[in-house]
Amino acid sequence: MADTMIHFQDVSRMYHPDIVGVTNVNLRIRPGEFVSIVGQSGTGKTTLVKLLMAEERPDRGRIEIGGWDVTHIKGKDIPLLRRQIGVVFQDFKLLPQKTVYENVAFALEVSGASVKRIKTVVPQVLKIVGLEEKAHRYPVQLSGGEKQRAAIARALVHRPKIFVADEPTGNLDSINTREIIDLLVKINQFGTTVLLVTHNREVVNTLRRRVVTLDAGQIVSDQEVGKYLL
Amino acid sequence: MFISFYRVIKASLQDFIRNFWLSVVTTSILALALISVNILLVLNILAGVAVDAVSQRISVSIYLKPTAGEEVVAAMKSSLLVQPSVMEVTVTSADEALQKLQERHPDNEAIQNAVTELGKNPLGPSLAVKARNTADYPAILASLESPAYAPYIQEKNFDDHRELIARIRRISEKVESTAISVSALFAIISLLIVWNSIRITIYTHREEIGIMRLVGASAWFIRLPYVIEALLYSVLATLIAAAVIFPVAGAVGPSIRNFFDGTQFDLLGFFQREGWRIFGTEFLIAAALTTITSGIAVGRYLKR
Repeated sequence: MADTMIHFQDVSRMYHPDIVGVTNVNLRIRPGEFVSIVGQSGTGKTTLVKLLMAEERPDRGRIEIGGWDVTHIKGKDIPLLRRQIGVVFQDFKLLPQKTVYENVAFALEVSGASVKRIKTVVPQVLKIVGLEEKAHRYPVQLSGGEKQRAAIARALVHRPKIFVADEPTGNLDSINTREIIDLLVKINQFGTTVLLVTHNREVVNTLRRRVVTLDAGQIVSDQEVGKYLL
Repeated sequence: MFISFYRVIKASLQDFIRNFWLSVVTTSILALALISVNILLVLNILAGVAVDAVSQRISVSIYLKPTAGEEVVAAMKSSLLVQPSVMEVTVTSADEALQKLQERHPDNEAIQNAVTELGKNPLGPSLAVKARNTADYPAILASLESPAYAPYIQEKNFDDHRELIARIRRISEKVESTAISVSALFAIISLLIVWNSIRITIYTHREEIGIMRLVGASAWFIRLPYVIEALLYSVLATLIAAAVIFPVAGAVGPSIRNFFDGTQFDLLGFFQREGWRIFGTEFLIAAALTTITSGIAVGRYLKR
């Protein structure tokens, strides 16, 4: 459906008969939405991200992304899917032996982008995240906030339709947290669907956007303009 | 396709340089394994040279009766030389034998008087036979048992040497079988060391492999730089091994010749002649091992 960017239909993922990842999740996210997925640790937030990135397969249900059924996606198609979803993590996941510029460029290189395109796009995204001056530094030479901005730049470089941020502020102080959230809002304003996975109450309450609350692997609340409930 | 291949090559070289110490350690382990294999190869060759050197000193003498004329000696020599197992036949005539005896005992009056009193040469001609292989002596001597030659043979000293020859044969066979066993054992140990060091190298990259997957790199784009890097380790390790072995062979060559009392074996010459084949084979084995190990090790982390 054209008005649906992400669709989880009755999705369940169990790690063990006793360990629930997510269960019976039904979630429809429209293009251009900013959705916060909240919940305490171990409630299934990261499982949702892994299912979205095809890092894990659901035991039951169906997952569609932009109308593409990725429930049983083939191994060779996974890289194509991941190039359409920008993702950042709490631990940044930057390649330590590459500079900021090379980390961002790498995401384009793997898709076979031309040298000309890389030379045009990479400085643009580095400018968006405010790292153009530190393009040739290695991750170890950056602060936590700068590392996360480098990771955001890398996630943006494909101009993805979906941007997933899994606890992006977990390792940051309040000032850097504010800057990163502002950056995510800015990305959303460009028309990108943003999924913010967090358990930071203050961030969620300040955003005043759609909030989906998970508890024990199930969606217990879905508010259009929500607050952190738990 | 070309641009992707260029990027893979660039990534592997970049990774090799930026993980400098890891590259140094992995290359060193590989180079040490190759050097050890070459040392073992040299030891195997030297063992063969030693056995050959001892075998070369053995010859069987056939003493003929004084009645054996030159034509009989020549016929016996010819019949021996046509046998492929015979390497050399040296004839000592009756006169030469007498001259040697007198030269050997110039002050022994009893010998000198006995020869004078006899008034003729009591010694007969002799043949010293060298076989290519110590195992061939019995067959060679058996060929002289024919009625044409047997009446002229006074004495064969093979029996004196029989035990020595048998012992050398046993040592030779033992050295050969031990060398094969030690080589096989060492090859297995080297394979395990190289296999493990490559696996550890890839293990240190496991997080990077995970990150590459997350940003949408295809399996071959992740795997190939590591495979090329493994190839690079093999090239460098082979060059280092050759750079160590050639000067060492040149330095120890004269000592080996002295030790084996003037043997013709030239260690440096051997490596100069066979170097391309030896180091080429070692490179191919090392390259196959490291690239296959790399590919498999990366594959483990690609599945996660």
